[in-house]
Amino acid sequence: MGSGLHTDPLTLLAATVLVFMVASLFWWVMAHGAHLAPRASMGLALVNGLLAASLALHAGRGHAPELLSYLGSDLLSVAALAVLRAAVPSLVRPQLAWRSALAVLLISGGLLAAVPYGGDMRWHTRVVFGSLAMLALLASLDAWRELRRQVSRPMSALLAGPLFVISALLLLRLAESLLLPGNTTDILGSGGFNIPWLWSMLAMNLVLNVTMAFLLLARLILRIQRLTRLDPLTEVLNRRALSEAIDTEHARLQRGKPYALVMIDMDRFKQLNDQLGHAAGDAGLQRLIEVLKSCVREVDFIGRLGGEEFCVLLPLTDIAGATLVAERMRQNLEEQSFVWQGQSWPLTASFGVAEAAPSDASADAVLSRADRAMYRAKAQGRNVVQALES
Amino acid sequence: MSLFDANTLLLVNAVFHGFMALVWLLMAQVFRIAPLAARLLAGAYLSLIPALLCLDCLGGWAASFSGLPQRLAGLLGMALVSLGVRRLMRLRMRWLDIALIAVVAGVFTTALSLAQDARAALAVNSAGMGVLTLLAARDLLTGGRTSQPGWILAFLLTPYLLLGLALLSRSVGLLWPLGEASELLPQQQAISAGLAWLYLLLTLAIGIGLVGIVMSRLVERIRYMTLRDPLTDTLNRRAMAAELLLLQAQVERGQQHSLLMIDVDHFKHINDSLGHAAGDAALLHLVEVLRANMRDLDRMGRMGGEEFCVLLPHTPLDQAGRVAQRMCDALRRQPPVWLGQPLKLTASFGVAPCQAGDPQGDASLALADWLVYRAKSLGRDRVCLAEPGLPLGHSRRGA
Repeated sequence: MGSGLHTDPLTLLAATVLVFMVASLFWWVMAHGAHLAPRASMGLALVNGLLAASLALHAGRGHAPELLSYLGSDLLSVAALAVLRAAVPSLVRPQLAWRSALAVLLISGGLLAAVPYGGDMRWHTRVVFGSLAMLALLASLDAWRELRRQVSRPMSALLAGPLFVISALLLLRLAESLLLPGNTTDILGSGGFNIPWLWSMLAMNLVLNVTMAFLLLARLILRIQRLTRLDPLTEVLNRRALSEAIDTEHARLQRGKPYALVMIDMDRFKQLNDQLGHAAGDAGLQRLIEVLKSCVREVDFIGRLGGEEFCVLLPLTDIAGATLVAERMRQNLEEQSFVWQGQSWPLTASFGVAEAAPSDASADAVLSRADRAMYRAKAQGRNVVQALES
Repeated sequence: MSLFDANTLLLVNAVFHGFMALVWLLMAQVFRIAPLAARLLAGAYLSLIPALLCLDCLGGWAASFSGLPQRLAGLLGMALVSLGVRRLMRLRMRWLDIALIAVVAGVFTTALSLAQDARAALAVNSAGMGVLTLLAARDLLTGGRTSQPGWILAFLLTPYLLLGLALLSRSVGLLWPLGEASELLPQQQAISAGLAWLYLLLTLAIGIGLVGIVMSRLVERIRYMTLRDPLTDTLNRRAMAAELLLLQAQVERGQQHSLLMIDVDHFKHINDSLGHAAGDAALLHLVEVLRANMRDLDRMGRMGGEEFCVLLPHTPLDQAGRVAQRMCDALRRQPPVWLGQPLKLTASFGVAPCQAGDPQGDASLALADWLVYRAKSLGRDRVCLAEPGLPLGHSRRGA
């Protein structure tokens, strides 16, 4: 192979600039054509554009005006990663993290302007790569933290990992400049160090854009999952998602893990709708959910079965524990003062509690027992908790 | 000679191909997005890599085949790209045409290579790849015409067209030498730097275009889902409110629109006695019957539980009343079947005009709502029409 893998540094640099420019165009189209996280996409278009400009200016060292090809190129690269650092969190949540990004950019800009270019360039290299590494690291940590809240650990590692690798590579360049100060900084020289560095620039560029695209993809998928699993009004599980959760729990029953269900039906919901309007009914349901949520643990599930009917799944809970939870819910709800457009309305609900027994063939049996308990509560005049032993 | 080195550009392109193969593998295995298309494209990118590595610098056993394996791999790669695009655009998965082109071009490439006619072999190979690329362009056009805006479609299509034409013209140039060498119509077998640049640019554009298609498909799905009720696949309340807003604006300009409010009779009874699954089936049946009596222009939405609304644009009240009566009768005549038993399913209908001076449509909805309750109190399974003599629904029922 030998000569076949020979690379020309100028061509490699130009190709890398081209890849940056095409990537920039891609994000621009994503922002304007698909309206896909427009702020983050525009940020990434800017990141790629700035990096392309920085690299192109760098190639002009020796021919182009010094202010542009030295200070300009360095500042553009730091600015690019500052934008990246600001944009990465907005891929996952709707905020820009611009404060720390701007701080790093200003500090490194000040340092670069203060140290004169010419002769010894090692300090510039250190400032530039120190800032780049710090910005990349901040972005990686942010991405990791946000991802961990929403997806599993391996998935977070897969998505945020490449950003950490990029940070490490940038740190490596800083360390290299500190430990082996003799190395050339002429990017177009074909010395032993430059070709690998150029290749790694290209690879970093590709990794960066691919990672960003996957982060965006993950966000879209999470949104779709929310839409398919959650009830749009109350943002608790919809019926399908809740029955899946109950079925899973029922399978664990065989291994000696008990669970209980609390069936909840809001009292006089139809009257609320008829007298105060549908909007009042919706607000009443949302208030009910607030109360229910304040009474359950992290591991419990709340779902909407339809209309004004809800069900809470309490894993590893027996009938006595579940009745206590239901009683607390009932009391908290009763103590709410629900006022709609000046008219107050007594929000109450009836609760039915049942515990799964090994004799229950399927989760449906437990559900219907909880349902019967709830109807008994209704029959007793509403706003009470009823439990039904199997 | 040239400022740039063709080999370096091909190597960069090979690295890009490797990355794209990785991207599509992740897409298929981890994210499970369009898994079949993603696997096809991953295979395509992997098989296109050998053709990008320097042909002149082969040593050992590969040299004795004078690049034949790379050419066949390139052909296979392009065939997989075409298949992947077809799958990605959700077109019918025919593969015969693509396979036929690939196999014919492959057989001729092999035969000519073995006959030591490298020039003709390369020409046939390029022609096959060119035709496959144009095929992908056609599929992209067919599938994207409805879903993508024009300028994005042009953006997506151009690289395929350019690449296809470049490959075909290369083949033509190899078969009929034109005397003067031009850069874009190369007659040598070795690739020039200009062509390598073009090739890099086109593959970059094609690669990210494909990723863009996947992303916009997900966005499209989200947009669809946020407007739909998941169970019945009718519009949800938010989407209906937006539709009604448009109609009410037209009412101010003198158009006549009507709306139906529909409430299933004794729905709670079905749910409680036969279970939620029966209730769901009943609602799906209802939607099917209503839809059979609607025009394309009409919009149906689920307003909550067992309550539906149908908007009838450009329909005066008496006509809307006839539509509602037809729906009501159809529902009574065609009961849904649950576990082999016909299920009694009827509904009460309220028919109201979209009134002027009501930009949000709240009064029109309230009136229709009130008429539904009137229909219920008159014994259900019937249609109640707004009449000039009746008090308007602002007072709402009961109270």
